[in-house]
Amino acid sequence: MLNKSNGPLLRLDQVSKAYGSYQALQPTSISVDEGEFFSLLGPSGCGKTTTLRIIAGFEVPSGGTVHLGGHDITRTPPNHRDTNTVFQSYALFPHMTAAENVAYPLKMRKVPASEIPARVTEAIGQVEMSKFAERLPHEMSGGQRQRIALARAIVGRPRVLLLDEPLGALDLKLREQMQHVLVHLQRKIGITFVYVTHDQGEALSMSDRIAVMSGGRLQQLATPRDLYYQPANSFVASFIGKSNVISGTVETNAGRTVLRSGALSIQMPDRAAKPKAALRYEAIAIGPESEGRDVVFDANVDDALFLGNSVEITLDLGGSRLVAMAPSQRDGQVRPGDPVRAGFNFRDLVPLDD
Amino acid sequence: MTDLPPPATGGFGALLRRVSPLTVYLWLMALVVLPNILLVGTSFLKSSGGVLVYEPTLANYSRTLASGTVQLLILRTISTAFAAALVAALIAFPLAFYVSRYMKRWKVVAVMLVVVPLWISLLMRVFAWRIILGENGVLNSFLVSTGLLTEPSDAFLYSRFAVILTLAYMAIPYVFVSSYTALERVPQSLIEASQDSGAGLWNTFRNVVWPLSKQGLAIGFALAFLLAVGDYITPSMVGGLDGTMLGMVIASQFGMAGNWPLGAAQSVVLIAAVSLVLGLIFWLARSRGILQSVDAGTGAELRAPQTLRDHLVLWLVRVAVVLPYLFLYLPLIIITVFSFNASQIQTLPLTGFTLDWYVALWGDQNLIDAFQRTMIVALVTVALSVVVGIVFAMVFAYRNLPFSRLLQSGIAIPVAIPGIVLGISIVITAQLLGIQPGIWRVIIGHMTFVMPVVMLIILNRLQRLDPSYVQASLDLGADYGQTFRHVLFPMIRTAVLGGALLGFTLSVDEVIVTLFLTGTEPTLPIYVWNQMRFGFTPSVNAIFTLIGVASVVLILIAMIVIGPDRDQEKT
Ligand SMILES: Nc1ncnc2c1ncn2[C@@H]1O[C@H](COP(=O)(O)OP(=O)(O)OP(=O)(O)O)[C@@H](O)[C@H]1O
Ligand SMILES: [Mg+2]
Repeated sequence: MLNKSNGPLLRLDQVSKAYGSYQALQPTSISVDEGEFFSLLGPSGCGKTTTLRIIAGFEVPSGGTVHLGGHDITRTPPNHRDTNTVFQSYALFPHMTAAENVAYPLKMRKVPASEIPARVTEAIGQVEMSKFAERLPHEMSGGQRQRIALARAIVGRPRVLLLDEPLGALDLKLREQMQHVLVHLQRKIGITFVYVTHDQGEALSMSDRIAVMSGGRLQQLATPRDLYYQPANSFVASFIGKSNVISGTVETNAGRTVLRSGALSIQMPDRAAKPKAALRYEAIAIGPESEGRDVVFDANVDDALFLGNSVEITLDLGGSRLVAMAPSQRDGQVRPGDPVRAGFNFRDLVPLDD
Repeated sequence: MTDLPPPATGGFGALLRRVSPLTVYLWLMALVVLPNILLVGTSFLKSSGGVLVYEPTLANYSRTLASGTVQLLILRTISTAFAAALVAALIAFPLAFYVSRYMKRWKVVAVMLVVVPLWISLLMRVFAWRIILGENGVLNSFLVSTGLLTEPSDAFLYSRFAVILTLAYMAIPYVFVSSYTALERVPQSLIEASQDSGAGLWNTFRNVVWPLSKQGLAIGFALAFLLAVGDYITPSMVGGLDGTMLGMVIASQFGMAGNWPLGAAQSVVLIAAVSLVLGLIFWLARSRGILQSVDAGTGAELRAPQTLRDHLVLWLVRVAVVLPYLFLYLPLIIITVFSFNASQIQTLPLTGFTLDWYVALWGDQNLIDAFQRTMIVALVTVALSVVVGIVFAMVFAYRNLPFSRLLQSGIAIPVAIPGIVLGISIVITAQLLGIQPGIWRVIIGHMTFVMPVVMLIILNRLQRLDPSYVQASLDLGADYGQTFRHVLFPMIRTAVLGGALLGFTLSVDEVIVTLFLTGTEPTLPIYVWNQMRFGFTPSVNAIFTLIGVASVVLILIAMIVIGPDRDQEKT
């Protein structure tokens, strides 16, 4: 395809959106490659839906441009865009059967009538809903409606599929099941996905790349691994997984660089250390495990939260606190008040920009 | 619907519980079943010199159905009413669509402006059309002065055209409200899903908006049709010979012609014809699927115009939106203008400014009496209807009565039969039961159609409430009376007030049924009606201008003071 050599399939350039005087989206630039599973992740109200609606064409951005396959589509109405949306509320037409809903985009896009039945059957088959083709939306369960909404969005083979928290209304079990369906489907049909979610687990497990947003601003754009191990700032560090944010002062004397934060003082190997760093809960080892770590310290257990497969232990370092996560064990549980030895490695200490 | 357990303690509620289902059946029997049976029964009797003869016969039907004139009249009545409803729909539905989907800030105002004319007397609005269409009327003056006509035409007034126009004018608010309500329920996400699927404006309308709103339009259309078909006032005022409708003939059988059985038979035939048409309308508007209101319809953004063509279209749309409002308000403006006009005769040109007609109001004892009577009737009707309506609505919402839906529809029948037929069936019943013409006859007559409206509005509200509110209150030790006072009523009070307001409007302005029920003591509309036939004074313009202004002010105050229900759930 043309754009393969020419750069990304979808490109947002300094796109912003204001509702009246309220700036819902700060100027943001994002590129999505062909065939990518791309996620927008962030807390409620951070501007994910706004971004998605700008891509779909339901909102015109206040500033910036949107390009699809090299063409400027900033002002193209939604019905002339090669994108399809899976709505959070499914938005199935209540007066049409599942099959009619799926056939709708084909009819609207003037696909020859002779092709339509076969393509509808195929799309419904892809989401494993063949048995429900003749049902009306109100005769289906939430998960079934969800699948039909998905089939309706992929049947026209759009270049980009936009999904706005498509699993938000489903229960946990169904949600996990649908996550597999989605990933599987995306690989099979090779359509580019832009996926909106506020569930970090969902984003990490499904995406090729993730854009983390907060307060209308792009915080970091990276692969799930990089987001997890190299968060760019304290927001990402605390939003993705669970991290301690250590902030203090950096002192350099006699050729040594020391990060001081409360009762903790860490001798840094790196001269250019920053005064703020993130440390994942699970990067702190407790008891004998801490043996041989780069930084080892003594602390008292303040609180221990049993989570099933792990224990979240709050450590008191004489004023300042750190939280560690250790695998839970049948015997030898730690109790509040117990003195423990803990430690971590330098490479787990991620310097933060802010 | 949940059947509630007996209350922990006695009180008002326990009493209510024992009494209420019985009252529902009683109401249905006395005010719906009996009048209709008597109507049908009467149609099989003979009449001799204005007196009923109790001797069964089919003569009235053979006379009605065999007569070529009557056949023609039935056909003309149905087609006129249908045409009026169609015109109203063609004006109201596009307007409702625009207001619902494209207006934001002025939405409420736009809706209110369509509804306000309903508070101005029907008779006055019809009369205003006479002033507009007449030979010396506004339309002719305009056409002659612009040179479109060389001399005034008498073709506008006293024609079928005038009847259709006026009936359509009356019906617009009803069609608008029911279409608007339906359109508001179409979720924005469905419209976006359609655009997302590649559909343009027209395809989205045809495949999504229309199927989901046509039932609302059908209800409005049916209402418009019913109002028109049962009207004998409008055709007799603007119709002339060409515009005669069956209602006028039926009315005369209960008036001057004095042949009740024949009138009853004609009514039964009219009802049959009307039922056929309504059946057809609802069959055409049938739809499948259930709209789950996951998200309400919010306004769409009209894209900012870019090309010259866009600008042109936008201006055309604006003009198209303003025109119906001009149409709606022209008659009201005429009334107001003539209330200050210094001539006894209601024609152009205006002769000068005066306040005489307002001053004259204070001296006209008959008018003041009629006004007081109207207020008494309306207030008593509404008060009784609200009490009964609340009780019935609670019965339907919280008791598992067998055939509950059927009973509800049964109680609502008087709303759905042509006014003329309702009027005569009540006359026949009142006569038989020995209720004398006068205020009580009118109040009972009005309650037959006001109470169902109030009841249905309240019931609709109750059914949207989570039943656990009531259960929670009972669980916390309140009896039914306390639960009603402290929990239920605060949550339904806007519905109660809305119903009361609507009922008041319906009662205050009623002519068609009332004309049969008052004796020598007319209500205001009847008084005006008599005035119009036997010598008109512009004081009537003045009083309706005052009433119009007062009701608008009252409604505005009510909207500000009452505020929304104390209830977090969205309606
Ligand atoms: N039509 C609108 N008018 C005014 N403000 C709006 C409008 N739509 C969204 N906003 C505001 O813009 C901000 C971003 O909204 P958006 O819907 O993009 O959030 P989101 O990230 O999708 O949140 P959620 O996870 O809750 O869906 C919010 O603060 C919201 O209140
Ligand atoms: Mg959202």
